[in-house]
Amino acid sequence: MRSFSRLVLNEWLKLFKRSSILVPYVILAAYAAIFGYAVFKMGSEFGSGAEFAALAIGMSSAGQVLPLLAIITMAGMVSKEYRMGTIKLLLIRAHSRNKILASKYTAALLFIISLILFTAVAVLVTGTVVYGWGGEAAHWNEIGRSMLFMFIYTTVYVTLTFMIDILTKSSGVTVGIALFCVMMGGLATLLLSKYSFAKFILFANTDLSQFNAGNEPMIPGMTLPFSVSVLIVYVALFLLASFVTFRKRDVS
Amino acid sequence: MVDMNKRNSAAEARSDRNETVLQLDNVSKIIGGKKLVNGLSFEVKSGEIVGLLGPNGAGKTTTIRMIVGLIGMSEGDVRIGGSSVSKSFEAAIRHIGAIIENPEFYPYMTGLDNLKQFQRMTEGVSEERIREVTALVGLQDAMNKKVKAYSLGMRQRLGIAQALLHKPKVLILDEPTNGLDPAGIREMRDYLKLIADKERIGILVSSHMLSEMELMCSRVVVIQEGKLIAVRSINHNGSEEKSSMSLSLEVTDVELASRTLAALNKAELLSKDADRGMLAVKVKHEDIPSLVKALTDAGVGLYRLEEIKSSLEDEFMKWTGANRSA
Ligand SMILES: Nc1ncnc2c1ncn2[C@@H]1O[C@H](COP(=O)(O)OP(=O)(O)OP(=O)(O)O)[C@@H](O)[C@H]1O
Ligand SMILES: [Mg+2]
Repeated sequence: MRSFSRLVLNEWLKLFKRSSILVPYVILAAYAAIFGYAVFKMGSEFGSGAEFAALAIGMSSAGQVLPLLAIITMAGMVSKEYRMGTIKLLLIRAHSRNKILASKYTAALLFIISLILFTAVAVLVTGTVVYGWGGEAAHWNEIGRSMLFMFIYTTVYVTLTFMIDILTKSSGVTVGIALFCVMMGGLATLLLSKYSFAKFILFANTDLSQFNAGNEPMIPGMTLPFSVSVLIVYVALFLLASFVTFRKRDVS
Repeated sequence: MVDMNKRNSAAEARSDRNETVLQLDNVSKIIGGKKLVNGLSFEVKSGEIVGLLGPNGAGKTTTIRMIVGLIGMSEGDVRIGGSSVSKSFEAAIRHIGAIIENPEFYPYMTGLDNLKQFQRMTEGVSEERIREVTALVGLQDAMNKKVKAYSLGMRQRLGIAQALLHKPKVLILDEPTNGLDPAGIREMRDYLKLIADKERIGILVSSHMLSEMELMCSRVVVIQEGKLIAVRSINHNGSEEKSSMSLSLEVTDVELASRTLAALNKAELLSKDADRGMLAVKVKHEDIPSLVKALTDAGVGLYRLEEIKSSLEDEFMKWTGANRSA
């Protein structure tokens, strides 16, 4: 366990020893500020900072930015090791390939969590500056729920990215395919929504905020437990493909 | 009692001397129906430097990648310190330190941060050990520089440091002198000899440079098209000075020179080439001055006197050349 956490620390340092790692955080901070300024200019009135934050961290606001940043940063987590040749040194230590890959995936999940926590703080700070501190329990609940849904949405796409990165060994191709999926997935689902199989499409299920009160699910008849189950199956398949490929592949 | 213990540990140290640390047993790699490596068997003992020698494309890198488990074996097995690479990878690989092809690091991290990455991947590597290996390869002053600012020679040295960090029993280096200048090559050779001798590590070095191998290795394993062609021991005993050696002479008058040498009766004439003014002789080291004096006294002008080296290179060309045309 200790040896595994040290592997995760290694992966974390590989991410954070680069100055470019600050970019997603800077963008998210800028997002919070700009979003705050925009809604203020449009004359929207919020009773409290938390009420503002609940809107700003929702899937249709921060959810349009944060997952993309996570995908762009995580694409290359494995393929760059191949490209730089460092994979050779990584794989000739006394750790199984499963463990090495699991440490990378764990670091990716921690990175997603860090982005979400950072965003939550950023929008709360912005909201507090503009509308003052405070908020009702409902707003805090909504913030928590949004963070959870954001984590699930981002994790699903990052897992997909992780798999494509391993299969293609090219961070460029990976970013391309993964971003295409995020952007066109929803549209494709919409086009196919008249067929009953459409609800099994990954993209129909990733955004769990569709089950929030007042929202309509993408395809009638879908429920939260159904979508969560579909997502679990997809994530398991992506991980299975990733680990099997990574374990078996000759490194040359 | 104390004495007994001492004697025991001395005996242990002696038996360590010839412990087989790396053993290839009929190893093959087949890709797309082609045998890149074909039934290769050899071993490396502790304290020994073994050269894996072969022309480009012979399968040296492929063999080394199989030894360290980067690629799977199609047939056979490799044992490292008694553990099988295919059956108990983690137990086997912990005895290995290696550089495969080029020493690659995270360029945006410092040398020290890179070594710390490897430290965290192995149990029981102390800060002290990091200092020890960096001092061994002479990189103390560059540890806080980013690796992207390192020269190739510095990266090779960091590669060695990385490979030695966890005190392996076997060190495997694929073309370690690649891209090094002559001084760097010499330095590398000196480290490797030092390490083999002091830390009793078994070292496998691949190369297509024979002259390099001759200077460094105690044994060479020659492969060609994935097959073992020959295993040769190389003697490094300083007896060269006393034993006779072959010299090539470039002189003003070949006939006069050969008559003079015959009269001197200390050198054996191997060949002569009057057109080029060259002759080859076999002579004892200590007789060289009198040979030169005799020639000069006889009025033979001497342009050049050179040792004819490299039996191994000739042999190597013969082995590989013969195989190619077959
Ligand atoms: N993944 C692969 N698929 C097919 N053929 C390969 C693969 N890797 C290597 N080869 C072939 O195997 C042969 C041996 O290659 P290898 O790299 O082991 O040679 P080498 O002895 O290290 O040569 P060099 O001195 O040039 O480094 C070459 O003919 C090469 O083309
Ligand atoms: Mg090679």
